[in-house]
This record gives sequence, C-alpha cells and structure tokens, in this order.
Amino acid sequence: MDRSRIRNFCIIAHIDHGKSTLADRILEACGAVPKEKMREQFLDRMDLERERGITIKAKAVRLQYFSQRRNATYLFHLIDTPGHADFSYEVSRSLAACEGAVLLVDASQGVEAQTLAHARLALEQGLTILPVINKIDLPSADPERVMRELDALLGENHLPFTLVSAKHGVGVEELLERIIEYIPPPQGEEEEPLRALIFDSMYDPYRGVLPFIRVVEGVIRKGMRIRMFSTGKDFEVVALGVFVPDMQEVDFLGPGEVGYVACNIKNVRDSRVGDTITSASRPALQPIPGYKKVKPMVFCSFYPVECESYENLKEALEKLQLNDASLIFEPDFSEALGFGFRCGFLGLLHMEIVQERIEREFGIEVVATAPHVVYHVLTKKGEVLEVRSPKDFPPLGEIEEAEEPYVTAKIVVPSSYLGGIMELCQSRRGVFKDMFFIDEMTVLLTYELPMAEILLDFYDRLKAISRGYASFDYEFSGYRPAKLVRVDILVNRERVDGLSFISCQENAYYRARELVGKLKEIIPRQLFVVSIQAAIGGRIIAREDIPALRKDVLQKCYGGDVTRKRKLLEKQKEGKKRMKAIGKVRIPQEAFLAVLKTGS
Amino acid sequence: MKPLGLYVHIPFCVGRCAYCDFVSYPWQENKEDFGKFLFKELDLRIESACFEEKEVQSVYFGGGTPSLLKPSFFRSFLNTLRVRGILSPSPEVTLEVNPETITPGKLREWRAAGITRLSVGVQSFQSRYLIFLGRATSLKRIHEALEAIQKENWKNWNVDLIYGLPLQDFDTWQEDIEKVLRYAPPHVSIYSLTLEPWVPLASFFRRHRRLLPSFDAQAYLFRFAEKKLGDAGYLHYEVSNFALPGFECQHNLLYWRNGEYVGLGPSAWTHLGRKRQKNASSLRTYAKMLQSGRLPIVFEEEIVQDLKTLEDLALLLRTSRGVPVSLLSSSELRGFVQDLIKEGLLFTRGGYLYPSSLGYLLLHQILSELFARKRVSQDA
Repeated sequence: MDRSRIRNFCIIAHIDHGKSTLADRILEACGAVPKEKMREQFLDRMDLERERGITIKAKAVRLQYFSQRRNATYLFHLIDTPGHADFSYEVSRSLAACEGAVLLVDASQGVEAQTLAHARLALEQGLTILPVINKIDLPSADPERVMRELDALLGENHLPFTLVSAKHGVGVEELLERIIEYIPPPQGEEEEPLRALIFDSMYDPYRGVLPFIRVVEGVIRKGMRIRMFSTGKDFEVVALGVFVPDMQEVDFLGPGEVGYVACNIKNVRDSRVGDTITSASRPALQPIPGYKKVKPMVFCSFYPVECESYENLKEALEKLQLNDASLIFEPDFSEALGFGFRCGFLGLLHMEIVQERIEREFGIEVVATAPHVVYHVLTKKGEVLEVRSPKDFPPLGEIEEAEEPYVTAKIVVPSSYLGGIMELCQSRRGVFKDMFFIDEMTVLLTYELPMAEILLDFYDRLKAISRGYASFDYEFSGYRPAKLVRVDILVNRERVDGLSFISCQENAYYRARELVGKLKEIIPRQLFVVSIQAAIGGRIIAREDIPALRKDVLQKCYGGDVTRKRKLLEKQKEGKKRMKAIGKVRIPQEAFLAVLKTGS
Repeated sequence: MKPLGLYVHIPFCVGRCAYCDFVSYPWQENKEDFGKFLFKELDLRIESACFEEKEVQSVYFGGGTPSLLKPSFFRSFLNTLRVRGILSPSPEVTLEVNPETITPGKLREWRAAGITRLSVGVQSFQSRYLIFLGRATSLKRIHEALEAIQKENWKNWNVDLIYGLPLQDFDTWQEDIEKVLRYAPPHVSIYSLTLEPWVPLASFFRRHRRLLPSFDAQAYLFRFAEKKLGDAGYLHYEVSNFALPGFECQHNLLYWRNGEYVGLGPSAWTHLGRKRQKNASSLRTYAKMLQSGRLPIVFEEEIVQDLKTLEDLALLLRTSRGVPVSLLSSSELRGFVQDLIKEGLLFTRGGYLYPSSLGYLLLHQILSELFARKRVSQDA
C-alpha cells in the first residue's frame, strides 16, 4: 500500500461518551465486520470491559476504507486506547503509534477531566486533533456549549468540529473523510534500519507473548531476527499479522503499518510497552523516545476467602501477569486473613479490574485489603527503603527523611460545586495549583494531592459533593517529603503487629482515635477489662477501655442440653483458636480487617 | 444401688408459648391415651436392663404441660415403678404445672398420686409479659394457683421466673421478686430469656434487639434478685436456681453432677454409663417405633473419657459445689484460673472450684475460655 494512503489514529473520549459505539460504526463503514457478526462494541473483547463500558487494553484494527469522494481505498489503523488514568503510560504509547486523534465529546455531558488529560497527552505528542461532538441526537444535547468549551481548551486554530451520532451512524462518513483530509500519512523510510514501537501486547497460549507494534522506520519480515532495545534480547520473527479485526498473517510490515509479531516470547517482561524493536543484524542507533519502565503505584493484598484456594490464586495471578506487565505480586501473610499475595498496580481501577478478573475468570473469591502507597524512607544510616507495609517502617529515631507519592489531579466541576470540591481537596492535604474557567459554568481545577489521600473514598466524596457532576483524573507527579509516622496499637499494653498503620503526622491522631474506637466496637467484651491504646513510639495518643463483660447469654442446662452445650463449647473453641491471643485477650479477625480496610 | 433419675416428657400444651423450644403438640382430650406409650417404653427399658443395679431416686414429669394429664396417670405410673421394684422408698417426684391447671382438688389428687414436688411456670407477675410471652393464663389465675398451693400446705415447690424481657425495668422486676417472696416457695428458678432461632419470639428480637435490656442491665436485675433471695435465706446453688437449704431439686442436681438418668417420651434424653441417647421428637415416629416393639431412640453417642472430662467441667461448674480442682490441673489452665480467681469470678474451697455471683453470670464465657485452653487428649 502506498504510504500516503495510510492513516493511523485513535479515539480519545471520556467513559460513556460513545467511543466504542463510534468504533463499531467505523468498522461497519469499512466493511470490516459482517453485519450479522456485529456485536455491540466489537473491540472490547473481555466481558468485563463490555460490562464496565471501558476499554482496558489497547487494540489495533486494520481497516480498508473506500472513499467515494476520492474514488480511492485508504488503509486505516484504528488504535484503541485505554480509557483511564491508571493506564496513562499505555495511553501515551498508543498515542505515539498514531498521527492523529479523534477527540470525542458527548454533546450533553461536555468536556470532562479525562478528555482533558488525554487531549493534553495527544497535543504534547504533536498529534493532529479532530474534535468530534457525539450524541447530537439526544434531547439534552447542547453542541453549542460543548463547542465553546472545546474552543477554550484547544485554542482558536483547531480543526472544524464534526457533529455525529455514533448510535445512528450520522456524520460517520464525513468524519472518515476528514480523517483522510486532515490527519497526515505516516513518515519513515523502508530503507532505514528497523524501528518499531511496542504499544501493547497480548498473551496467546500457543504462541507466547505477542507484541503489538507500529513500524516507524524500516521493514519487519517473517524469519527476521529482531532485538528488544531495552533488554538487548534477540528473537526470531515466527509470524507477523494484522487485526482485520480477526488475526490475519502477513509476510512483512512497513513504515506506518500496525500489527502483531509472534517471536516465541515467553515472558511478558520481554515485551515492554514503549520499547523499540529493531533488527538484530542491522540495529538502529537510537530507540524511539518515550520508553519508561512502569512501576506499580498502588499496593494491596489479596487473600483467598477459602484458604485452600491459595495455590489457585497464585496460578491466577501468574496467568494475569502474562498479559499484564504492570501487575506484580509477592507472597504475604496476615494475622487476620492468613496467606495471600501483596500485589502492585498502576492505580485503583487497575486493582479493581485484576480483582474482578480473579473472581470472574478464575472463580476465586478474594478479600482485598485497603489499597496503600509505597513510601520512601531515607534512614540516618543512609539507606533508602521502599516501605510497603507498616512492619517495614523504621522507628522514628532512625528516619532522616520520609517521602510519599503525589499526584496531579485535574477536576472538572460545575462552578456551583466549586467550593465544596476545593474544601474536599484542602481537607485531603491538597495543594491548590490552578483554576481555569472552561466556560462560565464549568471549572477545571488542578491540585497536587498526596496519592494516599485519593485511594480510599476521595472519588466517592467528589461525586457526592458534586451530585455526580464532577469528573476527576490524576497522574503521578513524584515523591515529596512528608512527616510520616507509624502508629502502633497496644492491647493491654502489648503491641499487636497486624494493627499498626502508617500515617502522615497531622492525621495520625485522628486516625488513631478512629481505629481505637472501631476496635472497641469490634473486640467483644471479655472476662477482664481490656485497654486499647494507640502509640507513636513510646507516646500514647489515644486510648479506650473495653469494660469487662457482666453477663453472658445464659443457657439452661438440663438432661437434653448436655450434648448440645458441649458441642457449642467445642465449636467456640475452634472459633477461639482462629482468634489472635494477646495475653489473655482474644482479638477477632474483623479487628485486623478493620485496619486493613481503612488502610495505611 | 446407683441412683438414677427418671424424666418423663409429656409433649402437650393448650397453647404454644412464644419463647418455648420444647417438643409440644396441641392438647386434645383424646391424647389421654398417650400414657400407654410411656408404659410401653418403660417396659422396653426395663427389659433392656436399664434399671439393673439402680434405684430411681427422682422422677420428673416435664413438658409440655404434664398437668394436663389426669392425676390417675401419675398414680398408676408411679405404682408401676414401685411394683417393678425400681423406685426408691422416698423418691422426689416433681410435676411441672401450669397455673391454669391448678385447682385445690387437683392439688390433693396429685399428692395422693405420689407427686412430692411442684414446679409452677409463673414466668412473670406482669400481665403484659404474660401476654408477650404467649402464656395461656392470667395474673388472677396465677395468684389463685399460688394461694391454693399454700393453702394445701405443699412443702416442696418451685416458681419459675423469666427476666431480660423487652423494656423490663427495675421497679416491675422488684415487684416480681417481692411477690415471689410473699408466697415463699422453697425453690425459685430465675431464667434469662434465651431464644432458639426458630421460636416465634426470636424473629421479633432479631428485628428489635434494642428493646431488650442490655446485658449490663440484665446482670443488675439478676444480682438484685440474688441479693433479695439471699437475704431471705435462699442459696444460689446453680446458675439459675435458688433454694432454701434442703430444698435443692435432686433431679436437676443429678443432671448437673453428670449423673445417670432415663428419659421417657418424645425427645427425651437418656444418660446411662458412657451413652447418651435421644428419643424421636416426632410423636408419630415415637409411637410407631414403640408399636413395632423398639425403643424410640434416634440418636446415640458414646462419651469417651475426653468428652466426659469436658462434660464434667461444664456441668459441675454450674453448681455451688463446683468442680474438683484436680480436673483443672494442667499448667495451661492453672494460670488462667488464677486470673479468674483474682478477678473475683471463681472461688476455691476444700479442693473445689466454684463460681462467684459474678462468675455465674459469665459462666458460658468462662467455660468457653477453659475449653479453649484445655488440651483434652493429654488429660485423658
């Protein structure tokens, strides 16, 4: 195919703004899927994605579009991007595989935080942006307002708006014509040494890891030896192919083309998103810029509900990992929950998706602890620790400096809820950065927030305060110094390991009181008075006493009750064994769960 | 001759009380012939040598409402025991009675039949609680019944009371206790309202738990009663039971000393040697098995030494005599028992360990802690 007739693009949109529906219409217009096989949202392969209405992993489809106006056939590569900030690095790599982006905005919802984040990424990468307003058929559609918002965001010189109704196919042909007209064809010479960008990959049980690539320069051919730039590892190309949308083998892929490579990669870590594939015999001098090794930002532990499922859970995580290089895990043990795995994720959504896949695809019920972040601690000895668990947190006296991760949060909110949202951000230790009126009704707020503060109920609070109107997106922005402390819980003056948590100093007192209060509710009254204290180092910062029990459930015990009574006591003996004994006090599992659920 | 208790379950009531968990069927006059099954079962038990080398020292007619049966039944039943030579010369024979069924005439007939002790299910002296509990009687009938018992000069009798009722306050409870003391029965049982999940009241309490007095308040009510009864000379001799000296219920003490007993009637339990057995609960199954000449036993377990030790512990610790210290001699337990003594929950006396007033109210918790610390197989 003549390279001037290739167009590589993606669709940027907020959840529910109709990206998948538009993609379906484009597939139809290109005759890629016979009508009868057309399922709604064809590109979202996993059930989970279909249900959640979001796209988790980027995919690429090759489409042939015959333009009647031009009387010529064009080759489109539609690259689907993940729709959530957790995957912003993957998004940026998908964008790097394109020359243009369709910026899709719902005509009644208007611009949302996520749209902004992705549009900004696309602009930074120098992509041509085609603004498209969708759902113009809705009675609540207000395309005028959305146009004003987009004018404000994209500046005066942006390309003309395309109005579509993806649901009814209105305006789709016009959009495809504009894609041909405005989005530039790929550059790059066939004669140059091979440079292909890995923007995603999938795991195939028969062929191993299949990297999805965009060839930038040179040609990749079947049988050729290739090299991964980041690791220097060589592989032989066993097969090459494209998605039409089903897999179809080809002999080679040239500059601007998009497809997959089969080269017997066993480990997903050898096919890193953002890495450059080059020729082993004639390597390029420089990789494609922008490669980053992604690091998990959010951690939580999964424990099987049935402890016999431990091995199955391990297997499930291993399988998921084949397809997901950003998921990491290691064995973990908890007083309350037994053996499980501490897992690292890109963000909250990533965590939820992994949990749901474990439960749905592998049928293993898991208990997830509250998500938490990784703290950096520089000790007085000069060691740098990555602290993932309160038990690894050094005593106060040994800490030179501690740091916690921050995010840049973009919040789009109707101006009437602005005050409430700002108060929320302030209460979460947010640092105000910027306020931008997209129009007289809508504000774009920028805050720096400690990541730990957004992990628990920030999103829920945001939605509650704004009655669901605010949208929110965030991006990791780096580590910053913080005054961190470890709060220990003492039961009858004995420290209970599983109940400690890490907190910033200013919240420690409040959180300690909250936890101590909760433990007072959870730990049943016993035969003795039980004191619960929270301490930082040797200093007690909160205390509650559980008074001794005064009366039991008293059962009569006559001839017929002996067996039953004995069995009840034996059963309770088993229950007591599962409780953690601290001195003569027994602490039920829920207590440990309480601290895990409220997080550290 | 080893002492043996004989329990006889009469599973009929005029109405079903909303808190009751015992096996009971609606009473009709034609149920009178139920007695013949009891005789049949007694025969089979005697044939199977249950009473050999033993002497029935106590008989307890429980229910249900055994006082619904004609007094002649009790007479002929006790006569049979005597004729068969298994009854002691001076047995304790208790009849559970519903106040509704008490008349001066009946009282005389029962005594003539050989009943020596009455246990009267009063439960409360508050009309609202009688209604709430679904008792088929009135306050007026209760007073008439208790007065009749006094007038007929019964020496040995008991009144049952229930506490821990919804919105129960101190004043009405005080009134209940004072009324009991005015009638001066030599034995008083004070039960905490406990509900098995399937009884009608249980669903009410699942929904309205807050209406119940707190455990702290219940403990206060109970200890008030204990104090009042103590002042009047009653001994707190078991978790829920108080008696003037010499009027402890011998039959029930047998249970709490892990003694032997035979149970007749649907759902009755038997404890003989190492065996515990349970009769069919369903009247039909019970009757059918007997008609085909079999004992109506549907469950049986062997109490191995380990379990017996645990049972001894759970039962003996219920009474003021207590449990031999030797039963708790493992080092694991000793420290914990010392803690309990220090907290004032247990006392020791003459090689026995027994609960204090506080300990009685926490007995289940104490037992469950002791069980959890007891390594059974080593003690066996």
